[in-house]
Amino acid sequence: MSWRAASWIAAVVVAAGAFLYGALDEGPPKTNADRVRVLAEDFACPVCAGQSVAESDVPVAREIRRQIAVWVDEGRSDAFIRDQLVAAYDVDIDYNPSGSGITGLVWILPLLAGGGIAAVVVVMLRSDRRSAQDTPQPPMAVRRRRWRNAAVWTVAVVVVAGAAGLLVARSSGSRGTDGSITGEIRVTTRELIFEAQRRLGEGDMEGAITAYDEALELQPSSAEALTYRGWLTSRRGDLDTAVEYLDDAIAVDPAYPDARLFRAIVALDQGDGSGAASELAVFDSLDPPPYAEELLTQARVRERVTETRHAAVLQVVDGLAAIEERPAFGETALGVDDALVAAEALAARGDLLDAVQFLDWVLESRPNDPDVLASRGWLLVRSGDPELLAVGVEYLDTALAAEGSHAGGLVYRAFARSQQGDVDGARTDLSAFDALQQQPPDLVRLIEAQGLRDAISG
Amino acid sequence: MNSGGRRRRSLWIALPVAVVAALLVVVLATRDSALDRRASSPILGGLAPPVVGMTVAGETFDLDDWRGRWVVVNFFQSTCVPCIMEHPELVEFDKRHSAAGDARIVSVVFDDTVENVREFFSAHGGDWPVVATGAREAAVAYGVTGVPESYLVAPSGVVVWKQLGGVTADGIDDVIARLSAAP
Amino acid sequence: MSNAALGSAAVAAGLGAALMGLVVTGLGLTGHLRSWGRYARQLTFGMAAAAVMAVVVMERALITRDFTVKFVADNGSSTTPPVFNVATLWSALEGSILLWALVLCGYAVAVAVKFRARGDDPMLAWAMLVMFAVSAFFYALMVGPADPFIAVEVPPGYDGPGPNPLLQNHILMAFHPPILYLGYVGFTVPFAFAVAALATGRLGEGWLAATRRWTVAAWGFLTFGIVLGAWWSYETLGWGGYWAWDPVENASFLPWLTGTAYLHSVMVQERRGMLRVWNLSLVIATFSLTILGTFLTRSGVIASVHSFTESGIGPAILGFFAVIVAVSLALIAWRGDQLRTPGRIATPVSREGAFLANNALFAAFAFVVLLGTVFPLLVEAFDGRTISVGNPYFDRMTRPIGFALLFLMAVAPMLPWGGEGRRPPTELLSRRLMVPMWIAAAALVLSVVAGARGWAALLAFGLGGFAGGAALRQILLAVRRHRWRGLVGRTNGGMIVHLGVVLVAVAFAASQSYVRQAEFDLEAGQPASFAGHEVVYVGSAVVAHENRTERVAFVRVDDAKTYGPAIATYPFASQTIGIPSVRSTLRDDVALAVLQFPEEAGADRVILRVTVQPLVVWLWLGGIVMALGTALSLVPSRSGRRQPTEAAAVEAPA
Repeated sequence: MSWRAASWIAAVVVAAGAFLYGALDEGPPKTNADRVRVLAEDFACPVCAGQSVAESDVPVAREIRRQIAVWVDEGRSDAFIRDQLVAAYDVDIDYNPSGSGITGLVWILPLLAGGGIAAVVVVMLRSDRRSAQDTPQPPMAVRRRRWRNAAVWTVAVVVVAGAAGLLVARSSGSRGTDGSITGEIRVTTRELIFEAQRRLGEGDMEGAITAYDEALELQPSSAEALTYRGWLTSRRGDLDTAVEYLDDAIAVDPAYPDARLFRAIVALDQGDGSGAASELAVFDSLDPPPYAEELLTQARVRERVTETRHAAVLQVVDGLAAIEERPAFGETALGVDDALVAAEALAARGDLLDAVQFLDWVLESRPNDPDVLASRGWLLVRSGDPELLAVGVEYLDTALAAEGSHAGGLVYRAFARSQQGDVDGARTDLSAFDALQQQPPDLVRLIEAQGLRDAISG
Repeated sequence: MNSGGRRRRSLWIALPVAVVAALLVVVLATRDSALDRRASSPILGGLAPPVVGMTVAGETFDLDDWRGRWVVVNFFQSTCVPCIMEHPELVEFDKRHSAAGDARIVSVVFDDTVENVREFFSAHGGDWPVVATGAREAAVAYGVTGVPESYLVAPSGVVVWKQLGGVTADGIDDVIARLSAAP
Repeated sequence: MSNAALGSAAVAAGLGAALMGLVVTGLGLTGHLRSWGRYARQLTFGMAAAAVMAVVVMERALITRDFTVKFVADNGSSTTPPVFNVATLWSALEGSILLWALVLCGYAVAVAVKFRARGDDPMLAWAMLVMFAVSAFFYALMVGPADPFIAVEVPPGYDGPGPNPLLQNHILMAFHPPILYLGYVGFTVPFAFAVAALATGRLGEGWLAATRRWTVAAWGFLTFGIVLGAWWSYETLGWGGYWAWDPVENASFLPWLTGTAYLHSVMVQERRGMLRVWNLSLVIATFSLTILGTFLTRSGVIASVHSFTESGIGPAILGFFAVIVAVSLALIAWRGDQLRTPGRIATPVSREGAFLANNALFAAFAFVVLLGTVFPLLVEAFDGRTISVGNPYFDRMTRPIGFALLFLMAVAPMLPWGGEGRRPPTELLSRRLMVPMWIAAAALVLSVVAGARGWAALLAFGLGGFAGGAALRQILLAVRRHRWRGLVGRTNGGMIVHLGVVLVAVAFAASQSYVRQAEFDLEAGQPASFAGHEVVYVGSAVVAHENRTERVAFVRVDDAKTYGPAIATYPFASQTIGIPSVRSTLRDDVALAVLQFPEEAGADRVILRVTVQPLVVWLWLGGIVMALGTALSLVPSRSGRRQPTEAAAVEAPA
């Protein structure tokens, strides 16, 4: 083998190797933003002259781009997006002419023309070669044979080129994966999230994290992927990173219950009771789906929130109690909410008297605060002692006198009245509560848990 | 003979080219200007695409709940001058039909902020639902090309009329009267 | 005398000169006028003087803001910056026709002067007749439907709207149209000589030799004009694109395709006397397509960003197109008997075989582009439906042709001309293509190492390396033998043009395949990292210019320079346009465009579109290399017609 042949083989092997590696290797996946851009280039801006949705900056083009982004994030197929846009804006929004009917000609004609041109070139080469031996006057039979040959060849070229054209036209209607030079779109965020959930179900936490990371690569704004990536991170013990993920998820979709729930749990793990409580409040306002509620119950989130908050606030209160000259409530850093939690905490510890005294101390600074009044009343009502119950009702009356539609006051008094046997009074309070525009979820839960409605309905 | 054959052959080539060129010229000569070629909307005559979302007042809205009435679906933007100009007409239309409740208006925000829209309505009047979230889906589903743009949905739920640009109360009423009269 | 009256007089004089030129050359051809040549030459001078006069008057009117000229009232403005004030001439229909006429008259003078030694050659007379006829047509347009010098009364204190904001925010706008016109109009000269050859029956290689340089020059201008147009749209439109298969872009691309085919096939006729009809057809098609393009741009039939406002000149131009095609076809049919030549192609694997394949590919390319451009009109005419044909169609249909052309670019320059009894030159090819093949392999390895994936782009890089290697090899061999003279002349210049084409092709494939784009909503001081770059939104400022107010977003890219994409509001046109800003390096471009400054109290926010595209700069470099190569190919090589790097002579097999 000569050195030249060897060199050729080497060059071809190197080139083919590099080409095949690069062509077959899956590069980094296209992100959703890339898909949106590719798709937007395939549609005409409906009000512009000759500009695509990607190019134009008129409001319509912008809105269509954003809608395409929404569809892509939802994991819709190219065909779906195309159908939606064509249904609303008619076929001329689609820069990809359909392969069927008269429009299919635009795909077929170039192949026919190409076949024709190729045939002409071949004929030129052949006839030139033949003309060298041409007699000036070929006999009739030869000419007839030439005509027949020409006809056969023409038909053959038309058939072959036409068939090829039909194939191209057939594949044109579906915006296939190689519909553009930018390459194919392999997976969607939704598929990756599904994959992650499957792995999680198999207990493969690392695999799930990888899948979520891939999903986030595609669509950095996927609230679901961010949330679960954050949740899994927290399960691995890296709470700070988890908080970052979850806060991102909440920024993307403030109304995603899962993110709120996990954020609350992570806050608990960090010992941040009030942060957890506020996330939990948002979670409750979101009308969470049953599986989230279940998870909530399983993880004893409410209980832990209460415990954590109580623990935190008790520390402060005990600290205050230890000081000899206790300052007035108004001079401390405590807010009314903290005070209410503290009273609950003291009561839960069994120090009912301490709790009541604590609230009295608060009332010195805030004499007419309906929240404090109602809370003090409720403490007494819950004591079970009939005398204290009567005093409690008085406090509740005062609270409701200060604010007629105080939700807590109404519910607590309904309980008190029902215990006193005043069913009608309890009903009145409860219906007043029901008429409120907003019913705090914890009160609703309280009513359900204690079976108040059943108690006063009969 | 030979030269005659060649001439014939060049004629054979020139003729089809001439025919194709002539055809092209005829087609080009008979085309209207591109600006005049606005296709009518493909959603006309079909079931109205959904308008579902939250209004700027924070309530949910679903166009299907209004089945049985004439509904004007109006796409607008608070900063667009024609929208400001058409608004009194919408107010007038709403006034005419609010008592009978036979026709209603729903406005859909197009590429605008909720604050702007609230200000717009408090400045120019009108208290029909204004859909804010879900507005883009609706705009793209109706094939909105610019604002203002209005669609009339018949009691049967079919889109029967489309108006690019501002509407007038009388104009909509005429359309309703015409379509109601037709069998 | 008012500008309007002066301009109208100049246009009328130009039309008169053109018509007289027609008469004089006509009389010369029929033998009634002996020294027609001198008169014709003087009439071209007159015609050109009239055009210069008209342009000078129009520029004076634009610069002095003489709003009594309707064109100035419609398109001028007291606040337009000076450079764009001059460029306003070609920012609207009437002025663009005026520019066309000026360039055409320039070519007419050049032809008349260059060929004055030919005396009373009827071939020259016919060519001049065609030049006069085309000039007369354009002057007639300006007298009739596209009159740039209509006088109007404007109220005192009137100020015009100025040109479309998009046409007055980038310096390339001052160069792109004139250079494109130099290309378009330049094809009138070979067309005139082609018609002359048909009319006189002198169908040999004489007319080819006469117009070779003219054609190359026109092609060079057209090429550079198209690249400048792409550059302009990349710099001003802000979505990272430079070529959108817009009908008007296609209209400029079509004559380029047929012109390029002609530049190659003409060598077959020069060398072997073949392809006479084909070459004539290509020249005629090129010129006809420039006119068709003019029609598409100016009639309003096709929706395009580049369209001028609707006007009544559409039918006139379409009629002119029809006349050109009809006359040319009739002439070809009439001369059919003389157009066949005895030359023959002995083997397909030869230089002429490659040129034939090249022409087949370019013809198919042109067909695809033409069909895609006019297809919506055809469907509407026959079916009544409106459809669109765009990016996906053109990408899919032209990509294979592009690959095949790159392959031919590598192989064809290595092939020897065919001759009697030559066998396929396998041995020769394996020797000559060795280096290009290694360069192709190196290009592929390099691309894969650099992270390039996907078969389409890699194929383009590999073939690009192959073709580029072939061109480089030829250039180096020529320089080694002839020193600097190895860079000039048609063959060597052509190889340099090939290098430019390879640069453009590689840049096209890379930027189309690996473009990344994202939109960011940033607050002042907030960074965003994307595709290996970090951008920081520093803050914004409002800058008032005479004709516009810009709100500029200051964006620092990769901790280095700060760029200032902006949104400009032109109060007069009540139009808001984005002004993108691009950080370019040889490796990749970071293009920044402000989409919106969201209104929100107390926050400085911006919605920024960031487009990262590799190798975009190579496109412009490629364009410059192509222009340079064209210029070098116009420099006469030492031995006249002989090709100095005729490789076959250098390294004929022993």
